[in-house]
Amino acid sequence: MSGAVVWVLFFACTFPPLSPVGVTVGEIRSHPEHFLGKEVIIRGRCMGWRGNCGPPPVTRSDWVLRDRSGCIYVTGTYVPRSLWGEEVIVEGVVEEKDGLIYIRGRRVIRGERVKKGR
Amino acid sequence: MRRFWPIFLLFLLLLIPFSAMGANQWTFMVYMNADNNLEAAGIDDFLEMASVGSNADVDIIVQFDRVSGYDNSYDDWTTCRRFRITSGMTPANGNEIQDLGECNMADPDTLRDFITWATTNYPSPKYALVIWNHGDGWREMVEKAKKGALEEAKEVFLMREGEGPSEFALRASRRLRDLYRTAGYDETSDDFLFIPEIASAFLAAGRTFDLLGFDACLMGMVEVAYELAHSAGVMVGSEETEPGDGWPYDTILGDLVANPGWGAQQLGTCIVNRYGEFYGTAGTETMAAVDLSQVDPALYNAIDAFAQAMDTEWSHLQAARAETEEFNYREVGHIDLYHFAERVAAHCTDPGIIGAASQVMTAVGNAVIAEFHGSGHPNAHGLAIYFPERALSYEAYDRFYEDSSRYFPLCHWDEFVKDYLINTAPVIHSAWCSAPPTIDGVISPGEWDDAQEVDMGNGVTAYVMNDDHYLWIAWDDPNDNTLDAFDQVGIYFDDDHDHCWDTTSGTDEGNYWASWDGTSWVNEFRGIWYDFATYSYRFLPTVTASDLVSSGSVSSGHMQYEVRVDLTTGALQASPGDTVGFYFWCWDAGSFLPDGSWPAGLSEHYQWREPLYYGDLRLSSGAAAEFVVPYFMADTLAPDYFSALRIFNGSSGPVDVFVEVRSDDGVVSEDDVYLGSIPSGQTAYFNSATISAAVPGLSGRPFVAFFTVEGAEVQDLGLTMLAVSPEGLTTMPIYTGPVPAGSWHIKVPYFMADTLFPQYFTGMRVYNDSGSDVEIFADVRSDDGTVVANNVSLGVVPAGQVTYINSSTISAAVPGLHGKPFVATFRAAVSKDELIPVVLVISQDGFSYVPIYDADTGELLR
Repeated sequence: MSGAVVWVLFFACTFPPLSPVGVTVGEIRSHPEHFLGKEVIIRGRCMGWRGNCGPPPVTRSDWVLRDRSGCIYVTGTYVPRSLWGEEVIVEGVVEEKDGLIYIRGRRVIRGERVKKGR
Repeated sequence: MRRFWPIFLLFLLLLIPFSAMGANQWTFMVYMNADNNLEAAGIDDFLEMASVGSNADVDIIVQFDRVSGYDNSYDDWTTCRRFRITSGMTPANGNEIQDLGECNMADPDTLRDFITWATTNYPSPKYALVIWNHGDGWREMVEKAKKGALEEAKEVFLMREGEGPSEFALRASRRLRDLYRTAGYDETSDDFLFIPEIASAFLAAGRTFDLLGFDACLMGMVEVAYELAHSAGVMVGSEETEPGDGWPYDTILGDLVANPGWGAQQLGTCIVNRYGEFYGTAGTETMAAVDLSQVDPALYNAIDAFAQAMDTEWSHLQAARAETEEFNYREVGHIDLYHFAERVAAHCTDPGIIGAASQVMTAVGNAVIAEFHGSGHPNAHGLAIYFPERALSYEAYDRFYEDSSRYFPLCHWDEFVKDYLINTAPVIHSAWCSAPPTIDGVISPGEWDDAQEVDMGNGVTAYVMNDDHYLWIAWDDPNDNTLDAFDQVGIYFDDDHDHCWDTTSGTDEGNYWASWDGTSWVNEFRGIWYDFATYSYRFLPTVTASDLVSSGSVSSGHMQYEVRVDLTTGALQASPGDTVGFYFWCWDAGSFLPDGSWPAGLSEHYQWREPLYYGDLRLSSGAAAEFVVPYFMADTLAPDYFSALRIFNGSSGPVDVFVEVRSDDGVVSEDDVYLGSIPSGQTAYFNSATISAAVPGLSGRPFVAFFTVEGAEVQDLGLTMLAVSPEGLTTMPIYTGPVPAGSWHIKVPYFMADTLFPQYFTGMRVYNDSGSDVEIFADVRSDDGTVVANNVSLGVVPAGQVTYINSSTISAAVPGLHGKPFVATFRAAVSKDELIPVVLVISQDGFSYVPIYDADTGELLR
């Protein structure tokens, strides 16, 4: 079995119940009232300043996280440009400003690390 | 007819645009790169400018690039257009002066063209240029890079074997983005405008500016200012990120239009003040205007001297760094330069460091014209500098920072940052393994008793020991209760300890993994090297590590791992006594980060790849000898006065000295305190001052010390305890093993003998009960007769005060005395009852006193 297949299976079979709350972008956008102020974990792709996700809600350095269900900005934590386009996991709190929903990130981790720790 | 010509000439003059005549006083240019997710903010700022509009004195000239998909207002055009903004204007179709079509705003030629066009068509005595967009501070460009991301990449990087053109382009462009910090991002072109490109654009346009502003994040840096120091008179930028709204152009331009006679410094001050008013003081916003003429050479030289001065007091520097104001969520390693210098001056004691820090503060103060900061950054002073700290900043130190031929990192700041990381590295002293453990994944009772215990954080403990063949490591992880596939440990090593990976692919440095694959333990090695041509970490294919033996289990109820590394045959090769750059962890499969790691925090702070951030693993050099020196040290109010332990290392290799300390009052208890290493053939002295410096809270307390010396040939150590005697120096017995009751005490007549180690002997305490200040004098005779000094002043004892005098005091006052046993006779112009001298010594009871005789009459005084 190739390493890539093993990796995918690993994610599918053994990825633990995301806690505090593992969610998708779409779930947050659909029912933001359920998530405001709550800590969430989202896995997605770091889009940097790209991604057609509207204007940044807080600072010009806010960056876009996109998963299959949509995109959302992350503020409060930095990503080096080498992570643009890479799979990441974001831990943070859902916030709102001027009608824009975003995540105030606490920590950003590359998803690949879960297989072979770096 | 005669009247016709003057009237005609006047008519002609009225036809010539004022701008062409140079009647205006400012050309305010904005290079607005909104071809990205800031498009909406660009439109807002356009409208702010239009709320004021150009007039006869001020031309507001904007090059505005938009993008599809973010804001479709005002005809949703997506090209690049030039405007002379007038009052009430919108960016709708038809209001532009020129439509350039799609242009790459991150191309320095585009900027050059804009500058040339604007200054040609709207000439004025003063020019301001605002670079409007994303920003992230400094970064240089390798000299080979020219223009365009892909072209730059092709000239800088090499295509890898088997890599297709599109893959190369993607990799290279990503790497280029990672390397360079920027002041602009063009999404359509997927390109960045780099700082040196701005300077080159100015040069190409033959233009300098009165004011250069960055309406972008993180641009208020020394490195940026230095890069552009000769391109403008005043720079305006923010140390922190900017909110999406950016600058309040309505109020800024309103002020400028009302005051067209302003110079650059006044305009810069206005921008700072209006920015501060707009955002208020409750947040984290910052802004500053900098006089660039003060940056090169004054500020540059001050920073250079400061960096060179900071070559000691590393713990103090670490404390200063921890207290320093930091920006962008403390993650990019941008700190406030002034505040760091201030903290250094507060913590350090070296006059050279303090003086250099003061010079930096003065230079920053001279450079920063105006500065604003919200309460979220109370110690911002206008200019940031690059200093990524271990397990604090998100990024590791980028070696690209130091590769430059003419830019800021020419100074020693980059060397200081690296020296700092090296000298503040945490240390593990591996213990000597006398009985090798069984690698079965179970930490059995007694099996790891020899080992050095290491706190990995999060409740995880590691055990480290070695002999001359193997390194053994065990982890105890109470957080993980099940053995799952991909449970693993990692060991990263820089075994030549040069704080950098090897620079070729033929490397034997990198990391081991020992992981459970569901049926067995898999041991692997991955080589890591650093490619200076591309400033990137390169990872070799993973291979089986036959020099590793590993196991793990949950037999104890939670995960325990055991690993043995062969230090002689595999990738990690080291000898007893060597120091290795080291980072290791244990990882519960399914977790985002290691359960425990050392040094802590490198994985989550993206510093795991960089050996500068690793700790030092010092391999034990041999079996330990332990000996007891009972009650021999008592650090009191006069820490320099007591006897000393001398150790001569007669073995063929170095030995390490550790001490276990127990204060008599039970307050202080420390084990395995490292005192230092003694090279072969050398001698070292240890006294209460030495130990007090190494054990927090010990100073002033009598204590017992138990020494451990580790070396390959411990039996050749010469252990001597020095004390004084009528013959000058004598030695005292040192007991090994249990301390006999009532074993010894020190007699101290002729109480001072300054030897090669002046801080070890007893002291004389003098209390002045006379009611007035008293000066103490001494007559000194060295035992060898070479030094004779009379009436040497030892200072004044104020009334009601106590002073201590020891051999150090006297040696400092008598030239040539240092290192020689001597006898001292003291004299003071008071009665014997008014001056109370006491000679303090050690005894088995702690303190005791020796008699003092009147030197003239022989009368016993005390």
